[in-house]
Amino acid sequence: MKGVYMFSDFKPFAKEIIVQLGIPDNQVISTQTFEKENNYHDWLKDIFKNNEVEKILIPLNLNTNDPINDGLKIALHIRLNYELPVIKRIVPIIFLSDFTLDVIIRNNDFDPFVNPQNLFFTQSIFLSSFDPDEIKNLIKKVEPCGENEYHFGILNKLRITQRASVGKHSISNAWGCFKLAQVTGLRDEIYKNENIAEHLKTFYAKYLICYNNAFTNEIFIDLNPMQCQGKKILLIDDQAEDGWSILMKNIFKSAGNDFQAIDSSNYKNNETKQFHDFEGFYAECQNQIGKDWDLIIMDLRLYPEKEDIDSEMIIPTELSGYKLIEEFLNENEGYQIIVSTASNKIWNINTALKRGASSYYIKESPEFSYSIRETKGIYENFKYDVQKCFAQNYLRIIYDDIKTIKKQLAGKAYPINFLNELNSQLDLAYEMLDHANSKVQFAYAFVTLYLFIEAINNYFVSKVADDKWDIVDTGHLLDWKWNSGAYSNTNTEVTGNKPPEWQKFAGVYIQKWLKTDNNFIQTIYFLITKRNGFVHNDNNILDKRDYAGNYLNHDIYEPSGFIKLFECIKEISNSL
Amino acid sequence: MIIIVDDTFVDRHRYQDVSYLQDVKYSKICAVYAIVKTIDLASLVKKISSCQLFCNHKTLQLYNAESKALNIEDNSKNRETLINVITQYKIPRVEFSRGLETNYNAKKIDKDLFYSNLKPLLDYFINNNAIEPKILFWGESFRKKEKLFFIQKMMIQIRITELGDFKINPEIKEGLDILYPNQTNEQVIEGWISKQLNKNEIIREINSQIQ
Repeated sequence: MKGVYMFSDFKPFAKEIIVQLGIPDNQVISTQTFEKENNYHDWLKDIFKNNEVEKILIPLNLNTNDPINDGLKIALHIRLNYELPVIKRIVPIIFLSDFTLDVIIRNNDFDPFVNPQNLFFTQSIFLSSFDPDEIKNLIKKVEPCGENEYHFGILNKLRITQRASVGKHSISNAWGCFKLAQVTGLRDEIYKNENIAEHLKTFYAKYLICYNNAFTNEIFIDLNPMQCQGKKILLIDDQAEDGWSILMKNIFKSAGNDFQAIDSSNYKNNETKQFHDFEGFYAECQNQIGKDWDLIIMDLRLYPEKEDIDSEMIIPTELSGYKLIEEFLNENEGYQIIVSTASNKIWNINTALKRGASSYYIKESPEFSYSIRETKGIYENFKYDVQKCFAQNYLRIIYDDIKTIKKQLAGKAYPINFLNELNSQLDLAYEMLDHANSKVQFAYAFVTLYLFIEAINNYFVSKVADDKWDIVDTGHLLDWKWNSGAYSNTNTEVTGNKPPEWQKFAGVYIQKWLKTDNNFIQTIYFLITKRNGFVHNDNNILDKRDYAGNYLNHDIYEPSGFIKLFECIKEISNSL
Repeated sequence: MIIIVDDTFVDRHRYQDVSYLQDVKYSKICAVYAIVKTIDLASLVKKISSCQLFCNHKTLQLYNAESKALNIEDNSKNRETLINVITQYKIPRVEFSRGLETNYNAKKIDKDLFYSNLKPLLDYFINNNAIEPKILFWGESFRKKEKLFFIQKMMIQIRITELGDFKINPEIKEGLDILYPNQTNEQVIEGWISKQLNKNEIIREINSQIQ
């Protein structure tokens, strides 16, 4: 009886069978009852890891709780124990029952989600009566099926579905967290998390994991960790406390305490993990709006009890995560938001992207088989997206500044048309910057922003008689010239068809507003020249270099060019 | 009267049809309490004396007078107090929860299964004026499974009992009463003896009798 093990409830009948079969005591496994499926998983994993089980006898009527199902479920936990090597999972199982298969099948209502009766029709399953001779004969005869039979001969014949009230969302969240942890060096810590383990050790999750051969013991260490010193990162995820918060905090380790997660557990029943105060959780998320986050990672379904119902089609814009994204972006279009979701419903993600989310991260699900290398690739993409968000953090700052400028303008006593034109110019320039992906697009955003200066000039400076130019309520525009480190004029009035825009602005700045910062006018001059170089495709201007050989005007093709011009716009707005 | 106390009941209709519970036919025999405030516990306890089966969510969340969820400590304390009252009154109790391993002996049941089998339980109550908790665990065809239990017990005794002692073994007698309602135990056992059946053949004979 080497390698032959038997489950037993140690009642007299079971003891007698064990004696008659000659199974040594150390090969008899005392049956246990647990409240949760995951306990069975762990219990059986330990048994099979610590023993060389070659054949196993399972009385169907274990625990006398059920004449059939208890034994079947134990067997199913063995077959689907992804933590064991396949060779151990396919151990020949001999069920013991004095009922015939026909009686068993016809007289039982089996669990409709697990369908354990299907096991009878899979490889390496045998049924014997309690007659010791029959059992002995069977033990001699049975051999394990080949490992290659595991998929087609066993898994394909099972039919396990999710329980009605356990959404795919929860399993995907747990699996996604676990997989990401595998490539970031936090695998063991995450797997020990009670909530993660509970989800990943249910029959349905186990079936998916085995079917897709998705479990691996490989551990990766991230040799190129995320660079995020000084960055403020916010995680909004209803599953944050179920592993995601620890995992993300580790991924964004260099952000230190600047990484924050909203703790949804404060608003949930500690035992059911369901929200008892979703409104409170949502309000705490809303409190983060307006703060200077460099990156927000946002789950789309924050309220799974309402939003993770497979039978219900929820409009993407009705998802709580989407609503929060909209609220954040309504406050500041420049927030960099990465949508993180366990759902592969592309229309939900697309809707969020269309609204202004920067990118997305789909939490892996056991339904889709990704190798560990693919998981690593997905993680590298996530890192790339994060760095892109960090690099675009100027958008949030500019958007905030534009709001401030608009507020200031609203309080000024200028004609509404003029103020509207300035506001429109700012909006247009921001819109172009936000969508700029290429050098030329950044340059066009710059040119659009420059039109703010032209609007100022058009309002304050107009042509009058004698080819002269008037500044509103000030007098004639003077001919300002750069002379020995400062702008001066010889009291000569500008005449002619069209003076350069920098000169008009110099008149407004010095004559109208009585400002004296020569460097500012010089900066404006260079910026307008840069704009002219691009608009007129004048390479002499565009390719101009300083003494060290650096291009002076190529920053028109980058965000930095826009930012320099925008700093001047802020100064101009203050002077209005 | 059957009392169900389930703080998650408000979402149940998303998974299963529970609208029938509002029909007078069912509401007069089954009361569902979804939001239980601590101030309501006393009135709930008053109804316990007329309760024949008490079913509670294992991790029942209770609320204070302002409808705020109690903290873990207070919740556990109040829940335990309620359960203790049920125990004192010796009211049969079934506990359900999402993902709970269904176990008839322990009277614990998976929540989805509980609600799947609730209507058959209530219909049985209406038709027979009796509550049969086995319906919750084994469904409408609980009698089939119950029969298997008795037969299984009988078969175990057949394995470990001498043929001559079959007639005096209470579990064999009980099993035979169920399996051969039109014959006396003696007739059945004599039949086996006269056919010179061995135990394996007797087991096969029994299987062939099960409908």
